[in-house]
Amino acid sequence: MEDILEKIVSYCKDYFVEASISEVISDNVIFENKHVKNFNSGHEVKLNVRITNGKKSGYSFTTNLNNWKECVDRAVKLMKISKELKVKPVFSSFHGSKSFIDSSIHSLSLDKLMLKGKEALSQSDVNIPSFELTKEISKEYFVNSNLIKSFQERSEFSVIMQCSKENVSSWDYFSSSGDADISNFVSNTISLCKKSLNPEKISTGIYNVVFDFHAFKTLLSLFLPNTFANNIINHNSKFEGMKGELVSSENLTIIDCGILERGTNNCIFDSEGFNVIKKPIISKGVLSNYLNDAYTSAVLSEKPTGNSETLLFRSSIGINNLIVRPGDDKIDTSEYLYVYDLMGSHTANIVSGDFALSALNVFYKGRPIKDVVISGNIFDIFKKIVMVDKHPRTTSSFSIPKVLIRDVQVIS
Amino acid sequence: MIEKVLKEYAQKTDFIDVRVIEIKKEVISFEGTQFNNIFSDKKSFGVRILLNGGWGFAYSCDFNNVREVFDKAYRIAKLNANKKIKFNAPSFFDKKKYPIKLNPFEIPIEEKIEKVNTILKLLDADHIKNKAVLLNCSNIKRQVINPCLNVSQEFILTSLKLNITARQGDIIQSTYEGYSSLGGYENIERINLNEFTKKALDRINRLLRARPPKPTKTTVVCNPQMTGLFFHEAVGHACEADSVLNKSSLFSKTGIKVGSEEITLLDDPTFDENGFYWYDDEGARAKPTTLIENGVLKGFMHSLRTSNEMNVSPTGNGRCMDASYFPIPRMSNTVLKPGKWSEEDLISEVKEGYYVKGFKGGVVDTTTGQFSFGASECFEIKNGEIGENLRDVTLTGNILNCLKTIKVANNPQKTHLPGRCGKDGQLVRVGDCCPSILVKEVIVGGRHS
Repeated sequence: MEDILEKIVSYCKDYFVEASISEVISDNVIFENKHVKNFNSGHEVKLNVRITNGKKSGYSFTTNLNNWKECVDRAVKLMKISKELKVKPVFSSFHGSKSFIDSSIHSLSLDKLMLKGKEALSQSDVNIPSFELTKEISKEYFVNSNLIKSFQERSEFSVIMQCSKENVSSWDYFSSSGDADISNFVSNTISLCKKSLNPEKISTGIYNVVFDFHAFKTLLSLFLPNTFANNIINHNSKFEGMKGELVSSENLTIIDCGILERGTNNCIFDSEGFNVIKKPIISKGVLSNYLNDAYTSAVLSEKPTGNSETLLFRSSIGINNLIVRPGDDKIDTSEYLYVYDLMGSHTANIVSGDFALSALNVFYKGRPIKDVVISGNIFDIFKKIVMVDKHPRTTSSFSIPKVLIRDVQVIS
Repeated sequence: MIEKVLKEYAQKTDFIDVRVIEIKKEVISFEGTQFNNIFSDKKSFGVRILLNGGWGFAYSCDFNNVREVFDKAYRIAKLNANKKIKFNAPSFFDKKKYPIKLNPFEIPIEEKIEKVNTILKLLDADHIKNKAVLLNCSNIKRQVINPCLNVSQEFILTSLKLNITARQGDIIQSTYEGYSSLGGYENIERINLNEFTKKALDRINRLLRARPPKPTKTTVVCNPQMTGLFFHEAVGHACEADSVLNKSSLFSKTGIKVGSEEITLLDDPTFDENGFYWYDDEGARAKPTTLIENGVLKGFMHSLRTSNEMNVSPTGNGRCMDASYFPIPRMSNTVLKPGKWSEEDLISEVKEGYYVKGFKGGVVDTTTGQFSFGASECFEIKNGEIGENLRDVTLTGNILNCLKTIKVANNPQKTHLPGRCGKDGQLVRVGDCCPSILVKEVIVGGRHS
């Protein structure tokens, strides 16, 4: 693969080229009602090419590495007829190579995955429509005309689980860069389903609400795009011109970083080859940084932060690993309305911040509750964060504790 | 090569099939200040093997190592082989190509950029803070092969999408306009760009003047677009046979009354809308499937696997996003038969409620029946009259409670939206043709004002 990338740089001498190859090898076993439904095994390779000449760029993508010349020629052709960008983009000069592979993942064969699943499900006494275990090894190679060559690889072990009993259900996922004992995860998901049985109704009104990992992650998905610099330069963000201002409760600190212990998005460079920098996004409620890629950093006269998501667009920005800084105390969930998950985030207005989301697995003072909608404005409710729990849950690329927010509109 | 190896493996397996799917895309897009011209080409193949009750599936985009992928699928099928089962599969030999007049890949890119530029100029206004326009042409080749079947289908899909964000004082709103259809560049040529753009501009101007709704449980009248989303999300997903089999659907058997007698709902891949195809991704012939007839649950949508497990005929709903996925039961075009009321009749019977137009995505929990849909536009109804405009409206509720209350109008419309439905990480193109409906017991949510 490195050979092909080197050939691309030599072939394309007249223009600036950035090219990456990503390779993903995955094994997966799916259970349905505790029995193996099927095994899957996959191998995917993708070549992304971006050609730039002055303020013009063209992009091309293929899964057929034998066609790399055709892929480059297409990108050149598209570059030539493209419109000029507002500013000249900058290019990475960062070299790096890093392995985030956990050796225990390498030894996880499909039959070991199956045994792991069977063992974990052996004690379950609820219906389990879907239980899926996946092992994934991914590699990324990056080159550009600055003669940069970077490489990173990582491993991931993940489990997705759905339980149901008497018209209530629970869902959860677990993901880590290394192998893990999943028995606690399975018993917690089953227990959540059972605790949700025989739900009651509550009255519409204003409540103090504790948002668990998934629920707060959903709220973050409405809030954080406002810190993405592409949304700032496209006037699609409430936070335009607000760097240094208080945008949430002082109890909130959010950090983006390349390396999180057992994180599944660990990386040293982003899709444009820039070094991933650890930085606070929100620091004690203050908007500290926008997340930049090469183009937005040039427009805003800032430094790239290593948050480019793809070579195929100018520009596309995303989170690497996200940490919500834990507080000092434990939240007693039995005192409040406690929401495990929220669904329908794509129905919200990310720009205005207005949302109304269905809540899943809800409890009020310990009792299960049904038919609850959480409604409000994301910028308003983030100012009402009263407390962040001291114990974060870390899964996938997120480390998020429970969060208590006061005066939340609840419709039932 | 694939066919040769398939024949070898067919000798030692109970069932084997292979999908080869190639998707080429040319995208011209503009957002904020940047044009992005992108070409992508994705081709992969997936091998599925059934051996003594055990399923193995392997995929790759490396066509130099075909045999290795077959071998992997065979080895992993053996891991769970424990009982002999009978498996019925279709046998056809057919090749289909969706007719087009103008091949979009032969239209000069400069011409497409000009189209996008025309729209951008029409959107010039001080309060429009962001414009995003996307012109997408896709060529999709799908082939499925088993020892008795070889079916190829080729589709060209063209779409034009527009997103705008506007600000007036503290109010920020965004809206979307889109057109998508199978067929060539003639589809794009037919679009009246002035009208297309004006629709979005008029809507954003109305939204900027609108107020948020007061959260309440009420009656709503949904326009055809919103009805399409409602039935797709709230009923369609619960009628997919895999969720019935794994007991994650609220529906467990047919013959049960689940809604008002005015509801007759079909899934119809033969209907010429965004979800059209001749054969599904397992080679089963496409046909309409009645899901609900006069309020009674009549049928489910099947893949080969679920139809074999439930001992019924395949319905032609076994679909996958590309060859790297196992086909599962999916919807195609959701069609609600027109009723006897006019849309005006439905509105006039509402004392206090809402009229919702268009959608901004939706989601459903098929186990509990809880749904959540975003409306792109909403109006108050007072004493049977359309009133004030509302913004940022979300509809939530429970499927079974709502279905009983539905009244159906006589104004079916194709949406022609670039509809894609997500399930188990797979996106497939879907469409709908539905009339307006009146539905009670819906929670209308939004920011409390």
